[in-house]
Amino acid sequence: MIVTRRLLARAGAGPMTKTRHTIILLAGLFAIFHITSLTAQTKAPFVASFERFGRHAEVEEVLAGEILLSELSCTACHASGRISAKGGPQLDSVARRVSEQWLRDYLTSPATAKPGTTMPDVLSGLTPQSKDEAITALVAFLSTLQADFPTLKAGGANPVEFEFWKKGDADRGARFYHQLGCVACHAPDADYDVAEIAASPIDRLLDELDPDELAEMGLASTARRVESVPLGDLALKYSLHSLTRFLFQPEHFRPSGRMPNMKLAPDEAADIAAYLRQRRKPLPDLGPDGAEVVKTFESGHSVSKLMPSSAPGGPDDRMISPSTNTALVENGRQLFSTLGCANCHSAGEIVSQRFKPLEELNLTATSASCLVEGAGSVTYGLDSVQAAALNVAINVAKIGPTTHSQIEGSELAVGQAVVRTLLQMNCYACHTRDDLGGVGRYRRGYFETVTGADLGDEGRLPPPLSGIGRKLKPTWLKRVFRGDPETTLRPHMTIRMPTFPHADVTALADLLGKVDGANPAPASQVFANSTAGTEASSTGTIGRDLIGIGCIECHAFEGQAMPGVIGVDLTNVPERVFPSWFLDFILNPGQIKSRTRMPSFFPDGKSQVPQTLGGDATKQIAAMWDYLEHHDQFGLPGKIAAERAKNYQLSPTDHPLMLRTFMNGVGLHAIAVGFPEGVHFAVDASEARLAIGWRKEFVDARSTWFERFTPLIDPLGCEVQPIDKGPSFFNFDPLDEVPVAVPIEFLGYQLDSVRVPTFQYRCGDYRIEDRIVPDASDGLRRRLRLLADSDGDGNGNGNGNGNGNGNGNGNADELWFRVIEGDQVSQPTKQSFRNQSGLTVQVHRSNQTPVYKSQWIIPLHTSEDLELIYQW
Amino acid sequence: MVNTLRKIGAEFQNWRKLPACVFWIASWKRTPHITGEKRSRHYCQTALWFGLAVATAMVHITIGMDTSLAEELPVNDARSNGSSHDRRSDVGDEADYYRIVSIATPQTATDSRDPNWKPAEDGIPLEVSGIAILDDRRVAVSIRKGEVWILDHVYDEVPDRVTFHQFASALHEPLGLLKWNNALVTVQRTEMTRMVDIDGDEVADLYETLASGWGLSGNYHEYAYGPQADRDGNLWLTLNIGMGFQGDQRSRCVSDPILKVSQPLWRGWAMKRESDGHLRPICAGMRSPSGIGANAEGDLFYTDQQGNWVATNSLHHLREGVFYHHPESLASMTQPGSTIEGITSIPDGLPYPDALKQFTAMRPPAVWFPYKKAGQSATDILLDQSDGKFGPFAGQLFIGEFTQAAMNRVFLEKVDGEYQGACFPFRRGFASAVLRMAQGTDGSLFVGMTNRGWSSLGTSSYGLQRLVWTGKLPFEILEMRAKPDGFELQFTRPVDPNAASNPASYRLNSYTYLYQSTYGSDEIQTRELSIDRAVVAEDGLSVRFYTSGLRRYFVHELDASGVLDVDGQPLLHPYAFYTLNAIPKIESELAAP
Repeated sequence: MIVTRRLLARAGAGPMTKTRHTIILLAGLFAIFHITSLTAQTKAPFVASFERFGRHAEVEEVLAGEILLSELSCTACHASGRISAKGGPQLDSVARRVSEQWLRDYLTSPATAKPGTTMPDVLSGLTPQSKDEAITALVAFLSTLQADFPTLKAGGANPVEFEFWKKGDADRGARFYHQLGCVACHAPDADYDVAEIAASPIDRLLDELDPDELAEMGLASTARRVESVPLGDLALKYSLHSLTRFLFQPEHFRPSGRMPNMKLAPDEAADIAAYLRQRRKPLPDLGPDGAEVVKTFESGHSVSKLMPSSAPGGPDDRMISPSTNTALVENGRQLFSTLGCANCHSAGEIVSQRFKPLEELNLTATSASCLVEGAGSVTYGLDSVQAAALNVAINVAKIGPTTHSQIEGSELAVGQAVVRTLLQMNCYACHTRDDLGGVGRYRRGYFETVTGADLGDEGRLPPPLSGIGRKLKPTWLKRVFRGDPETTLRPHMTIRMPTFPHADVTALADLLGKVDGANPAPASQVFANSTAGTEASSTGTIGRDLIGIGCIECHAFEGQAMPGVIGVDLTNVPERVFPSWFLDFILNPGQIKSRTRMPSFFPDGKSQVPQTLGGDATKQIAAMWDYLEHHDQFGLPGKIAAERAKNYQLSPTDHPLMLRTFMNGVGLHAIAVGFPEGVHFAVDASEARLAIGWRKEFVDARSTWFERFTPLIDPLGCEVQPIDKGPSFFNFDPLDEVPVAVPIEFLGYQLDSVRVPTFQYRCGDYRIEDRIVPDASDGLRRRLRLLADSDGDGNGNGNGNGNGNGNGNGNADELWFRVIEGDQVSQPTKQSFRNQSGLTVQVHRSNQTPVYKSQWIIPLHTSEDLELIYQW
Repeated sequence: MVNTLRKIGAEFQNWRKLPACVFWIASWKRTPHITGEKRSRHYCQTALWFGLAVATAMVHITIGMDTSLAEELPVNDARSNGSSHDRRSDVGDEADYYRIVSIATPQTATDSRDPNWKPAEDGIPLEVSGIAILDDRRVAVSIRKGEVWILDHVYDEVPDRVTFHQFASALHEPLGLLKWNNALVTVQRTEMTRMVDIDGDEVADLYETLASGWGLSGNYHEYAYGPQADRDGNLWLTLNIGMGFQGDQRSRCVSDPILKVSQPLWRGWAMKRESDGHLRPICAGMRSPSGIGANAEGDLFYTDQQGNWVATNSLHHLREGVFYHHPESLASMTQPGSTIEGITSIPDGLPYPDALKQFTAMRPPAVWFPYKKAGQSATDILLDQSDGKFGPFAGQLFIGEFTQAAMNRVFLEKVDGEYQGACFPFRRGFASAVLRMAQGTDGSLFVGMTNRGWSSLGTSSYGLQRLVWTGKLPFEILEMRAKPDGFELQFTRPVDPNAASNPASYRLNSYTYLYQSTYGSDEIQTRELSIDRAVVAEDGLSVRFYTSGLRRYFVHELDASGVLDVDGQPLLHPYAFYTLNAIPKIESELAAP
């Protein structure tokens, strides 16, 4: 094969000559042998973790054999208390999922139709003729299994296109396939370009050493290529629809959960299905650099087309028409039971077969046919290494629990159960735990950051699981396993943590804690020595500031990070981790997590901030925990808050800035105006009401601009002063003493050359111009100008002015303005008024007219503006 | 080199097809354009092909690996098993006829429903909520953040020199933009506003309130959309129903004492600002009327979105005094100025035709958009006024689709004096939720997108794209007209008479919905109609098909997958959904709109 590759490489470099043609021809011939010889090797069942670890003696042979016992579903027939069988797909809808030809091929020779399949050939003992008959009967029975696919509910949060499985885009599918994690287990396409990842020193070392040296240095596993889980011929097997549905919800069709749910949206599943169905199988042996491999599949053929079925009647969901030959169907049903199919596959009410329990098997007898090719009616195609491992595991099972590790519930047994589940589910394809597993050497290139930023391996590879049970709370782990979207903490990675709904995985949540020695003590206990008697609220502030010193340099907080920082968000740490782990980890990160990028802020257990909490490391860490637990009460760490403000805070510098919004104390028609001078106000445009004034920072516009639920906002600065409360403009007859509010209609505003707005209102028979600016006294200066409404008809919009006729007895010319409001208004000078809230209003007008003290109102005149100065 | 090998591989898959092989070998002689280099390569490939075939045979004989070889190199005919769709991959796709040009489709890091949603780091958060065409170089867009921007060079084939100029700011979630009397007009949450540049610096100085006075409680769902001008120069707006009131929001509602419904004033209504400045309530019963638009005759329509009381998305003719479906709007029925009166009870949970009988004030939509099949949330309405510059659909309506980031198409006709008609899928694959469309001076459509707060297909959370007709005529159902005993289909290209006259080329279903207070409705009372015969017109451009069992008020869903054009091509979109509110009594020869 090496010869072939070299030849090809050379041919690729040469010009288009006759020699080259000859070489191509030769190369083509070699390629064929190359392919066929490789497929010949894939007769044996493929169990990912056995191939990776068991075959190379990197796990104990017993364990390796036990993995085969479960993954080959041996214990589905030969029951064992300890090892549960993987089991096969449920077949309720098989006739809608696979093509008849594929099904026949598969039943004829499972390992040929689907290389690496874990399903044995249960018909191998039959003569060709009776085998044919059995297949025909089985296919007839299976053709009646036409259950609907699970309903897929569309909604505002869940886009589902009509016949979405026909609308996949293969190019997008190729990207998803290579980016979301499919290639953690399955073979990548050699054509797919990955980001260049600089070879690490260890990579260079691995390249230089020969196998013996690698083995000696314990690097054999790291250097070895991780074989891919074969996909078989998906185009022959599935329709676009059934493949899409499978990818969308694999656990529904394969309850074993070995193929995890990649949290695909329906359209993403369709994209990947389109890609997988169009691509020819890649060679199982992908070269390290991907370039030297002969490829036999075409590419660039897009199926991103609309492809409705050619005959009306909707999609051809039914891959196999139900057989009407009831006798044949019944025959197949019987076979399905007697052949033991029902031991692994659910397909309605079918009786499963009983065989000898695992512990009672006699491996020396001829009945050990499963382990020996051609010896009996059931053929697995096991190779010698697999058969040997199975032998060992069965023999150990027969002896019974003699060693400590096999005694149920013992520490070792729990530990082994954890490892077994991780092997069965192939968690090791992505994660390392205790030096086992991790993303294979040649697959790492597919694990990238979303933005392409280089964050090292910690920023692109799934996190290691060593000691994870000591760190993460079982409640959190369960949420992770069931795919709770809030558990996605690394949105910067292209890879997705899939959903693992299988009960064995859920059980890990508790088992991991046991194995890793979790200390589930509550914070009050863990930090008892340091925080006893201390109020959470006081140390929370300290914790916030401590976090604001170091953590935020690498971590995000409430979705906000420092510029260029990409890191796990710390917001919900107390939901996720045990306080005890938090304490230990912060004290000495390197000891808890090897090779972490997390630096120690407490070298030798000493705080770098001696002035805080007496420099006591534990107290400081406790304060950080306090803050994390109650962060909503303390606000964001300073720098994070400042960073967020950069994007959303309106800070007037050259000219006034405005924001229309919903605002507390102002209402739903609020217009806030901020000035570079640092004095700001907001009016309620529906009432021509100067509602509030304040100083320092103006407003944070984030929620108004971008938050769905449009909350009422507050001023950002300080010294918020309520000014006018209710209606401000009245008709008034001094004889009646009761002013009648005049409805106001907001007409808009005009900006002058320095962008100061002048608000305009219609009020009865008048127009009012209202201009408010900062005053030199650090207050506000307001000018009210009254104009006769020349074009107005005094009639508002819609029903807006039901009682616009309150002009009493004949004083219609007069419009009155309420200067100030309150229970205890005083009048320190003739022109100034003060209320209990600390507001002082000065009235500037040459022709000072009486103020009706009971109402604090003065008349307005078209002949002269009214100027008011507000101070507080 | 690699390509050549790949090609060998591709050809090699046909190894069993001997006749094809012979043809292939012979083809270079019969193909005059294959010359020189190409011919030599062709020759070499031919030789290679033979080589490979021989080698394969050898492999078969010597190793006997037939099955494993077949599995490496699957055979084409096996592949088509159970998937007749594959046959249609030569139909071409929508992009062959209408291509999308991306003017701005930035990537955002947060999910569209994230409470901490953030726009892309650089640039303007172009969550386009309104588009006004200014001239043949510029458009103005309003964005949800509350600004209006003028974009220059937006018609460029490669829009890489687009400039952005801020025209207005400090608006409260404007959801529409109209060029009107040399100014721009928008509708904010609380008012309709005219923005005028007085001093000539291309920045608005005057923000004039043209209309206000409708109620709001502060509830997030109280969106206000518009304006849309009618033929008399009035400006229309539509008002969402509030949803899930909290705190003191209820206190800002009005109520109907009999129906016991409560909403802020005029919520769920369309209102019209007349030229004298009055804002008048016109018609009621809307849920989420995010699109208003006129047809070629100048009649106005609005779209509504599936939810409580709204079975699926719908298109309605705006008329004074009409009630559509959402009864909470009737909270304002007894308010001064109301155009509706006397409704005292609301049926709940009835099939739609029965509900219409019992609830006589209710008017059915002109078009239902069956859920998923024709979108999940209808938005803007755009009339193709390009006279053919945008393809064969002049005078028809395009309807924006939010969740699926797509566009549907509507054909309307009048039967018994009322509008009804059909919708068709038109174009999918936009970068985000389609909220606004506007037709440029060259006939192309500007498409404004934003999905924040909800979800959509696509790659972006917001942006601006342009949909351009490639000049290629798609094979589509142009029109679907109701007849007393069937339908008449008009096509964009002549059909193959054999296929089109075969009743088996069609499948017709009908169904209706429940009128109910709960969210949406499934299709109910579904029944398949048999096609008795189909008659192709002499020019091949139309087909009249006959059926029995048309049901009034039911959606009639047509799947015309079997219809082919004269070149044997199937329809680009074989589905059509006709809302049959009235069955014509007589066959009219004139297809008057």
